[in-house]
Amino acid sequence: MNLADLIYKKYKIITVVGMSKNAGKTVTLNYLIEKFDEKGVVIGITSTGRDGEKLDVVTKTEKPTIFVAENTIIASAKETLLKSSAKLEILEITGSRTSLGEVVIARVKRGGHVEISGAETNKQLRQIANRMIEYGAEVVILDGAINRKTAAAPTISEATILATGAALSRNMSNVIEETVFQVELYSLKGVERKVEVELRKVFDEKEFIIIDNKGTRNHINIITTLNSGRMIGEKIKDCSKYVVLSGSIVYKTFEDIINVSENYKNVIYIIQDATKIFLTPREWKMLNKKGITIRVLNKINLLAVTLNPYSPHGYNFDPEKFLFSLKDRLPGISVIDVMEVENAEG
Amino acid sequence: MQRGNNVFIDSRTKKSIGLDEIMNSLPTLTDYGAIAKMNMTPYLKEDIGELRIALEDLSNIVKFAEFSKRRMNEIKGALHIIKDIRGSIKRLKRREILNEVEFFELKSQFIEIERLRNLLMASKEIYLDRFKLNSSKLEIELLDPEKAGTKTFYMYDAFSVDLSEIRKKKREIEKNISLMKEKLREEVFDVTGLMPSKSGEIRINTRKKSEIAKLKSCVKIALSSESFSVLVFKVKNSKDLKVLINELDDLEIQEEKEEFKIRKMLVEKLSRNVEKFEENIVAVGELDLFIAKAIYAMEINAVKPKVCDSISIIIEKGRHISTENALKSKGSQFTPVDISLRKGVTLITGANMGGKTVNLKMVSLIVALAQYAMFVPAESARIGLVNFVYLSVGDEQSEKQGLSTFGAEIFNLKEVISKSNETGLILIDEIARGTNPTEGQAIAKAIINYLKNKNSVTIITSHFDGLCTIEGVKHLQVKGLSGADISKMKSDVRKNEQYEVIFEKHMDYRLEKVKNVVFVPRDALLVAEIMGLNKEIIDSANEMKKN
Repeated sequence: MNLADLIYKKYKIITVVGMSKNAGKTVTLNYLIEKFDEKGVVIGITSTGRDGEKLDVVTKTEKPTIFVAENTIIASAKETLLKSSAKLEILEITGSRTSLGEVVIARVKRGGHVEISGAETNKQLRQIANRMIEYGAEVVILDGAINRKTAAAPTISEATILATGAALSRNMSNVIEETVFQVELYSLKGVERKVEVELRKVFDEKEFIIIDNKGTRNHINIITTLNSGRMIGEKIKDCSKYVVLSGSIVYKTFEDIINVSENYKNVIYIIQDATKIFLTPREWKMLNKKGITIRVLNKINLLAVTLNPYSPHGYNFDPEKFLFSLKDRLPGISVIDVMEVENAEG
Repeated sequence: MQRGNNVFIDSRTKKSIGLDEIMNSLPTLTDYGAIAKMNMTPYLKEDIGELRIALEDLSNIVKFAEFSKRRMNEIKGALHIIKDIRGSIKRLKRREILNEVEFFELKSQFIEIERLRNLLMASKEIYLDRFKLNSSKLEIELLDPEKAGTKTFYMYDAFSVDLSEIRKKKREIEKNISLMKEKLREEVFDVTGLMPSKSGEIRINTRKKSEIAKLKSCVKIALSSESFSVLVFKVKNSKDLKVLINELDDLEIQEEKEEFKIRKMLVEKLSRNVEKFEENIVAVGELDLFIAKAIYAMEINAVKPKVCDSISIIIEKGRHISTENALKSKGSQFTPVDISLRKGVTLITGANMGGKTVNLKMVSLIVALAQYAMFVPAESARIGLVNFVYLSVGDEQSEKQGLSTFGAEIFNLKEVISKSNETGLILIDEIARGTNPTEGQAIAKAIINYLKNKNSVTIITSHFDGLCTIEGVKHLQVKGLSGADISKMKSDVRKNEQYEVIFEKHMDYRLEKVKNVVFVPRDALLVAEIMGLNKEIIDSANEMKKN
């Protein structure tokens, strides 16, 4: 069973997220494109906006272009779209503005290379993905990135593929640690369904509240969790059940909470989604040891981890060792070597 | 049709009477409509003919919107999708070579406007001269050479024989290349037992010594990279394959050239009619704006004003929209007011909280709306057109200029007095209230005497007694609290109801014409008492009033 089989007919919108640049995301995308092409499945491809990536585009040795087959639907900013070697039928100008022009949806009339740079907000991404489905895409692939504004792209798609690879670090065990950590974050449990609607409002209003076991809300008067750990901690009572934190969380917040509150262990911390966590793998481990429980409003459905044992910096890991070590650390998750699979028929 | 704007009404007054708010509320659907809205200019006295036509046109659209809802919705839907493509039109005008996205913009707009045109042609009653659209059939045909009938755009093969020939050749060569590559992969497989990937690569672990030996001995592949754990071999391109790839590259260059030629030809042909497209943009903007005016008129229950040449204004059951909205949101309602004004000065006196200021705003708003060719919030209105609207509500203390209330009032009056013979609407709330009553009254009297013979309509409100007796001045009085249940009002105030709501319930806002009255009504202490001012102060003030 290859990755395309895991997706087709089960998920309409998926996100491919790279652990870092060159981690193998483009290889994974190309792999998926090829597999869907072999099956005759029409796909749609767009990406999250390229904010903050402009510099890298210049310094990068390899351009992250992908080869798209006939009939593929793509959505990309006007400027990048016009640079492609594929022949395109322009279908729609979406009205989503980016620094590289409005996002345009097009159908590939003749295969070729394209560079894709999509919308810059999750809301726009979702709308565009839906339009692509209307234009006939059976599966829409969102090319995502961990360190962008649209990092939460996994929360608007039905399934997520995490791409990792040798490019992340020369040290294989570092790559494995970081990947396992990311998988843990992406696997965070969601909240109970009955409180979901209510919590969504809290996050929409960007509020911070504590809910006790009777369901009473206690407002915390802060605008960010940064440097507000003590204030949050002091409000955690014996009867507190949930601590709902809008925005991002950092280690110091929890350090401060733990410092002032006896009850810090007895509550569940709820954040919007896993992309709001800014912790190192070590910090994450420490918090787990100290008994901090975190849940998310928007759960991410992690479908598979793909790996690329080759680094564009000229080194590589032993593919088999890399694959087995990761599989060993990630039981229950599909781990696929996209470079290896390419040769499976051989 | 450029009409004067800057002199008609200043931006401060526009805001103060709620005209800005109304303009912002006009629900235009397109950027073109928004531009038309921004460029709206008032019709002055000399434009009366044009204004009558504009109001008649608007009236037709209102009727259409009322009685042909389905067709109106279709037209609105057709408008809604029209995007602002002035950028591409501008480039076309400069004969710049457009790209595919820009051709797409043009094509889809041509199709959208053509659709709107068809809808309008089927709705003759509103397909008025100002909305006439030029047909874009020829342009649509030009950009749709395969007659697909869709809005999408592609550098179609059908644009030229050369292009379709080049592409045909390209496809053949591509097919041959892929067949040849497939064959090479199979040949490698036959020799080595390993099948290269689609991209022609074989990756192999360095541990697999025997396979590596086989791969190394195969002449059809070459080692392309190696590391301590993995070797990568790549299928070599045969001579024939290289030739084909070379040919393909050449064809690609030819294709680019041909596409450029076609784009140039399209620009050449389209740019001949660019004025036609620009006219369409203006017409779409006008249509959008008129529909917005019509929808808004229906929303606020407005009527078509009668406009005339005489210097007079008659309003029946007029309402002031932003005040009405504010009252509605508090669960109360606006009392419509009748007012009839003629050349010269009308004096309005009456109770505090009696709606005098709102009446001034209402009159100026209705006159301004009429002259911007909009319907007016009243049961009927007959408006003698003016060349300017001046409103002084006594709150324009100009800190910038370091002027006090009085200073600012005089500063602004100076200018309006100088043009008072040019037919304007001059509204002065509580004239000269910012200074001592003796001199204030004297100034007020002098101003009234000056303005009463000018070619303008002037309304002045005041609490000064001495103004009621001036010859040749119409005097209106707010009916006020004469019939009100004062004890009920007081108890409502104690129940913490909002003042506006209480006064709205008990105050009689109607204006009545009075004659031979010497004193203005004395309601100030009563109002203060109802509002709950300290009893000791009220008593003491009443005592002083008696003496």
